[in-house]
Amino acid sequence: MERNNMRRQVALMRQSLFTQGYLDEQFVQLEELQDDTNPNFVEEIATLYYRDSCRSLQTIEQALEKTPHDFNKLDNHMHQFKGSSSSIGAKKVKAECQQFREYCRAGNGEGCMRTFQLLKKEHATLKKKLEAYFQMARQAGPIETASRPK
Amino acid sequence: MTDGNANGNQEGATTPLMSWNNNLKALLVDPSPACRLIGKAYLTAYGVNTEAVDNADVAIILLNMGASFNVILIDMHMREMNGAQFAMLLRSSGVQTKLLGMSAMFREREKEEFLEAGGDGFIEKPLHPSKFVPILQELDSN
Repeated sequence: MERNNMRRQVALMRQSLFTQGYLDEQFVQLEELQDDTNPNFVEEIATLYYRDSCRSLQTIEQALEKTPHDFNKLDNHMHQFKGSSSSIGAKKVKAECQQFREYCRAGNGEGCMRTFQLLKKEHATLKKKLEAYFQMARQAGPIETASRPK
Repeated sequence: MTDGNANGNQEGATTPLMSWNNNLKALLVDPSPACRLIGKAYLTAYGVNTEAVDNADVAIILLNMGASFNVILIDMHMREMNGAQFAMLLRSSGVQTKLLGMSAMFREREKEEFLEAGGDGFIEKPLHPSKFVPILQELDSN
């Protein structure tokens, strides 16, 4: 009984991540890659992403502190960050990356800095939500999500 | 309840989602660990033997050592060089392997430079089967 309740909570939590726009379709694709041989695949990806993206954000932050801004460089740094963010389905983070890129293209340093703050916030928010989600999912035990036919 | 291992396969491997005429091998070059893991998982799930490395230099070393692949997927913005530079390097050393650039941000000129340098195609991230399967099918038909 307890288990079922937990599983329902996990499912609701997962659903809200999508309805609130934190995650997109790409995340579902990752879940589909998870199976018995890769039971923690999605969590592993998320962990890797956060470890790596923190470094990227630091690099971008440092680059933003140098004036005049090298927009080409900023754009390039953001490229990798956007790539990995979109690969895990981080919808809101991706949107901020896109905005950042527009500002780089327009040579708008202030816009970049403003967007960067928003980006960091979204990045941190998603991290907390995912951590909570994975923790709860682990406690509830394995759920039959969309898994590949064996 | 599910048990630990899939049945009827060696090493607990699951059946690939696609089968190929040839034994397809891919090299994935991407500085992002998350992208490497995802790319490798996808390609492997589709039955492609995949090697994933994090920079262009290692990729070149592998190729110089004689490792051969059917396709090389490369991120356009690596630390040591960009996609076009890598393509040029590859082609000038006589490597004919199909080369696909991967980019998170679509830039027309970047794509053109890459193709002119010897790249064969372009995939926009995030990597997804709908993007790489048709290319693999084309490769496999040879």
